[in-house]
Amino acid sequence: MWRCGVNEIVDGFLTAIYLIVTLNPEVYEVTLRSLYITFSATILASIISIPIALFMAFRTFPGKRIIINLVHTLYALPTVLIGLVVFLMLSRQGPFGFLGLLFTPGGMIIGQMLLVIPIIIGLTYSALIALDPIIKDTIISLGANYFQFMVSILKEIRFVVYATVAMAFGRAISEVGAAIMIGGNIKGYTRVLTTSIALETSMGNIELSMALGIILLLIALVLNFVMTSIRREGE
Amino acid sequence: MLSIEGLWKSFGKKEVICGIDAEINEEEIFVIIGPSGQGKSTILRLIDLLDSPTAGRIVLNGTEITALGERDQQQMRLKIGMVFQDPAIFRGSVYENVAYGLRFRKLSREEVHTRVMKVLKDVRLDGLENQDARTLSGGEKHRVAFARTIVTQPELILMDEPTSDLDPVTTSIIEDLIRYIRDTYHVTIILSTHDMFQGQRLGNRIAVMMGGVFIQTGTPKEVFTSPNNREVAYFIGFENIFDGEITRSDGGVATIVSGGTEVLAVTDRPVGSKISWCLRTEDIRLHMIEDHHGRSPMSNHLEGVVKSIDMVGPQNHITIDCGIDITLVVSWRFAERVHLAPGMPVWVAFNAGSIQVMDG
Repeated sequence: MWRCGVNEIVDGFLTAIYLIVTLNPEVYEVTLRSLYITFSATILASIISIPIALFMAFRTFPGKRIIINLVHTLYALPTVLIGLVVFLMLSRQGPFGFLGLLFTPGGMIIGQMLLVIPIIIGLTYSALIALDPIIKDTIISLGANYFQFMVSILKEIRFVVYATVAMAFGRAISEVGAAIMIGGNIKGYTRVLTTSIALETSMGNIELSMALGIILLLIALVLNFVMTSIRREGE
Repeated sequence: MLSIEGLWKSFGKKEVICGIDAEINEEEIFVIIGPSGQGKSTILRLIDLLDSPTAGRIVLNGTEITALGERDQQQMRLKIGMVFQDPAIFRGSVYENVAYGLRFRKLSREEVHTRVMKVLKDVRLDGLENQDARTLSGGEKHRVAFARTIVTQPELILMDEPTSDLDPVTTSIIEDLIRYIRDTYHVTIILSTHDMFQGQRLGNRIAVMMGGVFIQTGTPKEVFTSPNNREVAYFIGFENIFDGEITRSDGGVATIVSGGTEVLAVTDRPVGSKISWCLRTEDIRLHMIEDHHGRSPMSNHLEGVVKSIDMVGPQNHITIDCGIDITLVVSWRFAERVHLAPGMPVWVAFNAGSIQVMDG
């Protein structure tokens, strides 16, 4: 039985370091799955979200303001709510139950996509409308067609887009509610860093939890470093 | 080359362009001068198809460009270049900035390189092609914007206040560049400026724009010597502008009464016409009372007293109360030599031909 004293925490920390440096297969398998699922979700969400942000920024249509407000509201969407909605959609009786995606990495990717799409749309849209109008006019004046205009505008705000995608990745990899509900935390299949930490801690397996927690922290540090570098490059 | 016919543009309830007609000829520099906020930028944006007119049309080489669909307008923009008041600088090197518009024209890499290097030499930015464009000085950024536009070899170049916030030396460089572009690339240029002397220096023709209309169009000589109303006269620097009425006319020489003072002017307008007239400060002679014995050959002689003396650079602007306040210019040396002071009685003299009679 785990007893929570200072010595136990130090022991747990040392064991965790040992698990990481000795390339413990369980630790690395869970880490790689986490990276794979979140990386896929972030890339797919970006492919969907960036064109939507461009459309919203440069076209007028009825209900635009309501949609912008909705997108901003969804920044703070509780992950368990996404978990619940996707669970209902993908469950056997749900409208997409025939896809068989519940309790699969594919289902988890969908959940994480829904989580970060509003963030990528919202932040990209804000960067687009904040862009100096003279830049937009100059690109049009130089003879760009619609596609060339969009690509040129994206090039101008590329550093904001990179930082937004990095932020979305951070949000997706650190969420736990949707991952448990949609993935089911199946060992060797849908168990990722966050769900594993939750489970192992409840089982008293603190050394493993701490090892996974340290890895999650390292990922956050790397992301932060990447975002700082992007910001510096942008300036 | 370019016809503007009955052009109107309003933003909401605010009418910015209120019925403009103009013909711009091949290879001329057509300058739109006027104070800020009179619609100069708006008309350039309408020609560049960045905005749509509320009414009227613009015809470029026989094509009504304002009636084209979105795709055809984009194709038309490939023939028109615009240099904006604040030059937009894209992320990247000077080379990338200048090559920007060429990327939209799908030219070969060699063609892009040849054109960019030539134009960088033209604007005297050769050697800076690999520098980050955002680190350039204000004048250099303007030259990047020029280079980016002319490298696409447009038939028509629009320039919106190209030197508005530049120092005199850089302004001179940019003006030389504008003449060089016109002569080398045989291109038509429409340029807007609030600097009337720049309009005079650069323009083959000038349009004075006020209140959303061209209130006078002509060669610089026509506009600067014969303004056709008070607003134009005031804008192009006339200090003596008066309202009056023609009371007599004899063989093309009319007597005008303004504020009780009579002057002679050369005009065919009939007796009874309510008019405005103006007079350049440099066309007026000042005589001391003791020197003036009625021997001046000038046709107008008015007695008055010095009302005020203002130093402007190396000169003094003297205002004389002759019933109407007439301002003239003398050197400060002259003013000191004759001990010019407020209250001193003097004579002013000017020719009837120096008076420009305008609509009242």
